[in-house]
Amino acid sequence: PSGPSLAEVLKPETIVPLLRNRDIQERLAEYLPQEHRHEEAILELASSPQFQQQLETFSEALQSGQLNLNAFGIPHSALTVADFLKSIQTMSSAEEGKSGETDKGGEAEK
Amino acid sequence: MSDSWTTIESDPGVFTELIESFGTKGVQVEEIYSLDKDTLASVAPVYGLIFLFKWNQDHRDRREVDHSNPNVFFASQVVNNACATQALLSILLNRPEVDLGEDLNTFKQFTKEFAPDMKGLAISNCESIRNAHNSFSRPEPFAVEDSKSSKPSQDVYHFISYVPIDGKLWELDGLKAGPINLGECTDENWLDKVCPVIMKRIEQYSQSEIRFNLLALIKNKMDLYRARIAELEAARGGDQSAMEVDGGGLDEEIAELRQRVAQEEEKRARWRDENIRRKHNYIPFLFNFLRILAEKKQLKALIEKAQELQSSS
Repeated sequence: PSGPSLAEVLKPETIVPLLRNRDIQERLAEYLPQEHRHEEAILELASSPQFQQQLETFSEALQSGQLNLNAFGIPHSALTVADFLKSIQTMSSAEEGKSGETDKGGEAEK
Repeated sequence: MSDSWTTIESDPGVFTELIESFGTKGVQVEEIYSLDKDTLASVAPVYGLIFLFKWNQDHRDRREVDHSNPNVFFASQVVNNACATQALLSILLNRPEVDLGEDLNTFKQFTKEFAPDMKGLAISNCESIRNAHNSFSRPEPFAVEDSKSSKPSQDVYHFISYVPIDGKLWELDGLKAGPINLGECTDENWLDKVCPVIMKRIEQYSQSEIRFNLLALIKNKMDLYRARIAELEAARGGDQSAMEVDGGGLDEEIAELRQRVAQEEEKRARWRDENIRRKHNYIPFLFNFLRILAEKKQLKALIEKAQELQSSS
């Protein structure tokens, strides 16, 4: 598969507005280096060459089929970036459905 | 593999932190973009220069090696990817005025009588040096099924050092049979002597569009500025009458030095941030970011963007 890389899709101008969201910042803090768990560093990250480089490497591995995505709950195969994003969307929707059902179950027991 | 060496980005922030993690004090690295007198004067005193270039096996070099000076620390490169550290050691260990720190001092004493290949082996076996070097390994953010690099044609870069030792200018390249003597020099004029040598190399490579860069190991700038400030402040405080005459000039110089210290501090903070990012694995961050966007129904726009880019490519 070919197509755009993740770095091309997740350009700073695209993700910086999303990363300004407080809720997103708080939930992502644990995945950042300890010294960088604050807004300024998160926004800087988006345009840092180091982050862009990791996105490129990840994309290459993704598209060449070298990546084992089982760890992320995605069945392993060579994917385009669009397919990869779609499978995350599908997974998220499926989980939402599941947790919705459990909630209902809880209600019924009460 | 615990005994392998990682490739290292040739960047002044990386090299400076690497030198400091050896325990060596008072040395920093700056990239040199132009070989003119002003540029070199602005970074003086220079301990040595490191030239990085794309390594080409076909390049022939008929210059003779010179083993006549036993004080020259020369190590053959016996491990892949160690050349960044090797190039740094070729300068640090050949500059008696540098405060090497305990680890490198012990290492220098220990390997003093070794032949070049044994020195190279000693570097590869020295755990503290290897750990410092490998702390700059890029994170392996995910399990890659194929152990081969995704880019088999990845370019191989090589580092060599230029350093003045005992009145002579030396080129130290761990892939050569020994040190190359480039002639007489003094601590004052060695940069003038090395410029044409490096220029010649650059010309040779730029014809075939080969990438290269040049790094200088220099005396820590912040130390220099602070020492000068202390000197000026003592001069100002010690002699009140002098202050009346040219106190204004002193104050001006002190203010300018303080500004330079602040600039250095800013640069150091930037280097620190970059190095933290180099060592961190951002894939879990990325993955969770995308999941949160999916949950917030904001991933759709990104998918559309990817598809749009795909059809236009």
